[in-house]
Amino acid sequence: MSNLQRLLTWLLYGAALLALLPVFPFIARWVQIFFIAGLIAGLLRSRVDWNLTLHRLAVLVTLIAVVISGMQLTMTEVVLPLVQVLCVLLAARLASEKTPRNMLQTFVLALTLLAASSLLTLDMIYLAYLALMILMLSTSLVLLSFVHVDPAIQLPVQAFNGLGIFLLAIPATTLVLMAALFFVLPRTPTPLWNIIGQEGTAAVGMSDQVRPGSFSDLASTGAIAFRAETSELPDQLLYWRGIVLDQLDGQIWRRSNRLPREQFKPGGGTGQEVVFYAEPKSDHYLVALDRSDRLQGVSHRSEADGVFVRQRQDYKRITYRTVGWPQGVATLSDAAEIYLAVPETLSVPVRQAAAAISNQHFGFAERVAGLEGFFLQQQLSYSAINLPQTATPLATFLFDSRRGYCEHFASSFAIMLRLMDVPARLVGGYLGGTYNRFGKFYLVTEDRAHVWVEALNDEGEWVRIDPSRLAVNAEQAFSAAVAGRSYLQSLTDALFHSWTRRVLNYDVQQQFQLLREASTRLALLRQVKFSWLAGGMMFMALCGVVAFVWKRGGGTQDKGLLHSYLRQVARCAGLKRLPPELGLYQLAYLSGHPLCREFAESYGAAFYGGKKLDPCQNRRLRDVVRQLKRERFVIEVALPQCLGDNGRSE
Amino acid sequence: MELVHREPILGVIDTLSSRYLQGKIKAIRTALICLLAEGHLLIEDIPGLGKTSLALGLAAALGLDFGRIQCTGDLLPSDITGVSIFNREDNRFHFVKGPIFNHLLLVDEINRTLPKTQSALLEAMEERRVTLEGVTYELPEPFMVIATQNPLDHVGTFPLPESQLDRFLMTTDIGYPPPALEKQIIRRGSVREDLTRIKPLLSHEQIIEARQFVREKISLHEKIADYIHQLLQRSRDHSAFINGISTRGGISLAAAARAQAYLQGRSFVVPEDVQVVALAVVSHRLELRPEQDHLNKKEVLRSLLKDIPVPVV
Repeated sequence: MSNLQRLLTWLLYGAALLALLPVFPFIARWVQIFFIAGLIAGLLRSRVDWNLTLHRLAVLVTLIAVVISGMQLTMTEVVLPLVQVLCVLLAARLASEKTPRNMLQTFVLALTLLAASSLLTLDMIYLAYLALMILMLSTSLVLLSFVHVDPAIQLPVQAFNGLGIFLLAIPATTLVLMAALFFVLPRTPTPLWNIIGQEGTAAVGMSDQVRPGSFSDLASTGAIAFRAETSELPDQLLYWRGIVLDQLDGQIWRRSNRLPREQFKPGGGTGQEVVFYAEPKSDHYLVALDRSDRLQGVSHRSEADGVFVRQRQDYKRITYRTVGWPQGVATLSDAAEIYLAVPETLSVPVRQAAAAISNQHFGFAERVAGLEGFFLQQQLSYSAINLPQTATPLATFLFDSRRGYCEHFASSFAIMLRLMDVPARLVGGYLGGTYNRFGKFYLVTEDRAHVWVEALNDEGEWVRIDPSRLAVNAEQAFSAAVAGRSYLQSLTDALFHSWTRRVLNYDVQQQFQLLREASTRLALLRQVKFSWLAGGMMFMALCGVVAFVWKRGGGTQDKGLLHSYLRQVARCAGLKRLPPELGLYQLAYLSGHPLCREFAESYGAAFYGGKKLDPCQNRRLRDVVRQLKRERFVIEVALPQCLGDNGRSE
Repeated sequence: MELVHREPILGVIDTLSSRYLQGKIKAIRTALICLLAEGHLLIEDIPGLGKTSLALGLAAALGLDFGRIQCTGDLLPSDITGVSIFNREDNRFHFVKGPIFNHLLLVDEINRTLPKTQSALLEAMEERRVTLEGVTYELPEPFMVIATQNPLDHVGTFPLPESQLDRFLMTTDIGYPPPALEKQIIRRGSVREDLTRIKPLLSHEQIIEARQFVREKISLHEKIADYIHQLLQRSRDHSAFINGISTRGGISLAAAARAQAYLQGRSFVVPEDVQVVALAVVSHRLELRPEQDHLNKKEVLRSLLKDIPVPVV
């Protein structure tokens, strides 16, 4: 096998593996095994006697595998079965003989598979995969064109140096062109591929019902809920409001659909503009800074209690813009009965404790202060692990175990407020976030999901109360949550954010915006220095021409001439390649051919004499190489006869 | 570029090989390369194959004075360099030049003489002058030594150490003539008589000019220097040799390759020139390891040459 073919084979395996890498976690186990088997079969092919029976067996197995994958195709499951079919075909091609045609097919399959993988996952690493694939593919195509002409072609290392620049130039140009096309090619408002729906995953974090005591442990996943682009805010304002729960059924807080009317008055000053980049999630509540009155970018419905609900339910990344008013006030204009309902099944100690406080304190502020005093007095601690599961979780939390997480705190606080005739409701959302100074956004993970309380004061205004802060270890528990990320983490966060923003969410709107910006910039450019620009371009072109001429003079042409001569002589003599220890003169002597002698003398005089071939000589030598095409001779490979050795041994 | 005096030199080779020393063309070429490259030649072969005839023929055809020393165990340095004899008439010492003051000196069986004498001779070869009793005598120009030794002789010999062998530019053997030719020679008898009748084809000045031309005008491309260096490096890394080729070995290789290029009618050295002279220039400078003694040094060298790709671009 020639060195070129060997390189090509490695590139082939490299491209196939590269294409497999992104889809590997998604495809079925048997497809994974099938692919690896194909790879191994390809590697072992030269060592195994590949007879017809084995060949037919391989074809049969491939056919069965394709049919099995194809049968999994349904209206909802389109992508994965197709990807699996591609994997099977690629594996079959890898195992087949490495003819130029098969190789080309393998490369095409690998590229298609990589493209198909973008329907399953589109992480930033895809960019690296794509660049690498283009590099491999363009290199392989060039090499393939060599191998196709002469399968036994053997390139010396020096030839690779020359070829290397050429091989790098193609993918570099391709990538630049690709980047340009990415911004220019027309976009649709929503990705076309979204018709192939993807199933939502179960929600972790903020949920649409609160049921304290239903879990004994809360696992933290670190999954990203959303990124919020805004200026940096004080910590105590970082309440991201998602859902309002107003109805308590037994032990479960839910959202009723009887919502009394409310009026929202934004506070003074300008609103806090926040752009949200939310990760895909299965519920349809849109998170906004507490409390926002306007939301743009997603079709939605604003409910009376300030909750934004998405109209359409699909599992994809969304971007929207809100305006928040941290000082804003919401006033209830209807009756508040529904915020006072308490289930009959509530345990007696809780009722007694509430009655005790309401007997001593009157009015909103006093009662809230009294209840806070009660919470503090109970020495409750914030904990999300190893919680007891009982039939009366609130009583257990308040009087027995005295440990719980935000749902326990908020739920018991709200119920006791209701028992004291103070209208109250639960608000679910997120607390805090890590501010990323590189990307100027808050990164909010799912483990920051939080529940707090809103209570109606004597003036009929909703007031935010966070009972979790009454825990004896509140400082500790919440400072851990606000713990910063490392420099590197922030940087990667920012990178991923811009990937999502600039690439994944790049749509027709952004395209138009870019176009507008570009046209304004271009107009500016045209005004100022068109002549300079033209001059600069002329200068660069001139430099290019000079460099080209310089390079031409530098012997690359001679090099090409020599290689074609050597190839031609090898072919004339019926040799795969000429031994590298044979010099030109010896070659001419061995062949005994006048054309070879002419070439050796002319080229040798130029090269070893330290001169350059003049164009006339060059033409003549090319002509010699052409004429050699018709010649045939025998070469008995031998070094020149050495002096000093006349047959007597030492 | 015209190659100075190449024609008469080729004439010498032609005349000698076709008429007087048939079948010895390679040895003659080697000797002429030595002459052109300003080196000395060591002939290693058994007696009776025409070493002396070769030297005599060369001397005659080149028009050089010929001296001969037959080395023996009791030969003294002064027997080579010459002695001062008291002249009674003039009442002072008079220097009588030894055989070394010839252009072409044949030193027969150099390994039979004492190391002291060997070293005096080799020093004179290197320095190209002799200092006796405080007076320095320049050796004639051109000066060339052709030494012979019998590689099979062991008793009563003083083998030349490597440092001394290094002084010789090239070594060669003579080899038996082909059977047909040998029968002809047997029939015709020795040509020794005829050799004395050869007319000189070149003058001393021409030889000196040709040597100068080879030294100064034959170009050696950087790539050829690379090639020679690669050979040096490989010989140093080779497991069969105790030592590699020295830098002087490399210089000698370049000089001999220049002369070969000149003889081939080129004003520049090509890799084939190096390949042609490599064995003759290098083999006596290398010593096989005792455990590799069964190997043929020349074969090892040939395989080395085979492993090095020639520079063509």
